Amino acid sequence: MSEGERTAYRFQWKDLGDIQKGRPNLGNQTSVAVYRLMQYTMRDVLAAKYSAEEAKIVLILAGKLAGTEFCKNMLDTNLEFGKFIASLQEKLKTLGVGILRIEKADIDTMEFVLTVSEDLDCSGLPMKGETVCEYDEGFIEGILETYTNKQFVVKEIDCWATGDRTCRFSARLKESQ
Amino acid sequence: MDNLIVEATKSSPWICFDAENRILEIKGKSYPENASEFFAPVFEWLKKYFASTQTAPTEVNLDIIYLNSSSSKAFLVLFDILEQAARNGHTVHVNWRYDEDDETALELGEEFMEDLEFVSFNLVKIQDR
Amino acid sequence: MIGEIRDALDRLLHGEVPSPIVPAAGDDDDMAQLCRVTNSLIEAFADAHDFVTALGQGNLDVHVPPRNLLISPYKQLHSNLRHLTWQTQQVAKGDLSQRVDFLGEFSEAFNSMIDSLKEKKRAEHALKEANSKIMASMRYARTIQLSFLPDTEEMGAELGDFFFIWNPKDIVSGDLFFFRSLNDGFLISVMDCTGHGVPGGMMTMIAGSSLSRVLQDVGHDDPALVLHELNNLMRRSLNQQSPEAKSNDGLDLGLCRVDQAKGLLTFAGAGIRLYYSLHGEIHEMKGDKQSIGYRSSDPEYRFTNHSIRLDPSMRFYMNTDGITDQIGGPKGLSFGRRAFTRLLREIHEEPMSRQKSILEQEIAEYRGKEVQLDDMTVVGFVV
Repeated sequence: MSEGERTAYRFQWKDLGDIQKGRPNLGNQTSVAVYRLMQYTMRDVLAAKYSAEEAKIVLILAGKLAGTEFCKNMLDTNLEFGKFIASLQEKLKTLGVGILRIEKADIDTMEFVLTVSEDLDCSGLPMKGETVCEYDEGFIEGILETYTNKQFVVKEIDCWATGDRTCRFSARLKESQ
Repeated sequence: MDNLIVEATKSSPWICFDAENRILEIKGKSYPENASEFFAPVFEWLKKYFASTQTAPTEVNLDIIYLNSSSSKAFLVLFDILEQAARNGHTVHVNWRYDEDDETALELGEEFMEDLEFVSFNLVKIQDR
Repeated sequence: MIGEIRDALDRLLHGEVPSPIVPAAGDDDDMAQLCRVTNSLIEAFADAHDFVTALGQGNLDVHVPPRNLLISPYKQLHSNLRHLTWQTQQVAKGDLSQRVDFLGEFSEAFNSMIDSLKEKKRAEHALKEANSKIMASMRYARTIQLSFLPDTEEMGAELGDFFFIWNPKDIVSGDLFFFRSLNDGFLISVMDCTGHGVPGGMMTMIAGSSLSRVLQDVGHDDPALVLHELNNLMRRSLNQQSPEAKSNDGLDLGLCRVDQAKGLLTFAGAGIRLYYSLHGEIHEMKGDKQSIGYRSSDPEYRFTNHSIRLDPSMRFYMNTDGITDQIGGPKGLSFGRRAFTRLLREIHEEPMSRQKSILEQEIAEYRGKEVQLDDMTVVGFVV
């Protein structure tokens, strides 16, 4: 969908609403199962209505939009890279999104390897078969692109479980650039 | 009486006053920022030492490469204390050790020696340091 | 077939990698499946073996067999080690915002290391700030002190030729030199006050103004009397008249009165000598051994005047002991007065500016890597 064709809803950060006001008693608390219930049923319906491939693409794009908005609204992109990553790591931890660990970051070539453990979206998914962390891939892409102003491709390259599930992602610049 | 041992620093000498064996030694360079502060405990120890000790001989070995002017003033005080003790019946031998090529140290020793009457003061030339 | 599989499993248990099992024709489905699973296990083990071996050797760039769940704990270990390596590199670069989360004792150790580095950095910063304030204030003090030194134009107008080396150990100096033109000649003096840096600098201010005051009171024709008066004035100014006085500070000084009309130089010294050249040799006037202004200085002491008939070929020098006492050379000993005199003998016929640069160079060379221990001043002049 190109920008010009848009007529319907467009996400804005303020759409998240004033949660303290809107949920004076329940507040920010919810359950991870409920969050996943929404995401996985969405995936199911998308795959059924279009195709498994289309569903993946939609999830990546949604993750990317989320990552972009998250970066713009929750992070300080003026920090130099090391400090930016430290603040991202801290934020993801305190918000209960996941435990981010950078394994490698080459600022010159813009190549990164990172892992996410106890991830909100995919840490409960079965270990077998193909990769299923599309929403996360998009989320990381969105953050990196917003911080660097360059286009990235993020791929989940491995995952394992030692009780909790950990996914390893690689991020590199898009070839066309 | 406790021994007085002060480790050397870049700007202050090594000090070892051994009350039991009656040997007092100062060795090295002395140019502390505040010489009178640095030497105050040394003088205090010496006064106590001579007040408490018998008149058996005390050996003082000095091996000095550099004294700044306030340290040499402090040394004058040190020799005053030694002289006073010797005058009161203590036997005090000072060995002023200097390198054979160090005329400044030799002259300094000679200057200190001039003012001493009761202390026995030996200039000891060190070769091949 | 069962036998082959059992042998393969047995070898795996012994840490060896068996060759894959070839299914025999006619095996039933279950057997074929068992055969396939066993081969996957062998393959996974072979991959794992290489990976874990490299990991054990600390090779973190090793290829990680993807989707190999046999080695999940090792992957976790590998990932954590890479993460810690990255974090440590960031810290080494000075980024102290890093934290390690949820890695047990590692996290605690790493995070407390960061905290103590932060604490050190804060202390270092505070020190730097304090130091730069002190340095700025020292530099300002130096400006004041420099304006207290003689006007070189005035000296140039009065003297045939001259040079001076005024080289403080710590920005501000406890050494001072003094010059004053008179109707029939001039006064020139070199002073070495106790201390260097700020305390030395304060002493030079007291010494300099006390000298001016004494010259006003007793005139300039009798240097020995000037020294005597200065001795007493300094003792009074510093409250060092009584033996119980807290401080014991003062100065060494050499003072020359040149009377052009009479063709006479009169010198009195307190711990500072006057060197002069005559017929190719260097002679010295020792002055008195009494220092000025100290609590231990004798208030009754009478200094001695020494007079020399001036000859146009004569060169005169006064110095502070910062030069002669400086440690250096192969044995780490003082430069020495004899070496200084020898040097003067060699160079005294050179133009004064050249003598200055030779002296500076020789001292610097002798000093080598040793620190400068005291303020250094040399004044040389031709009448």
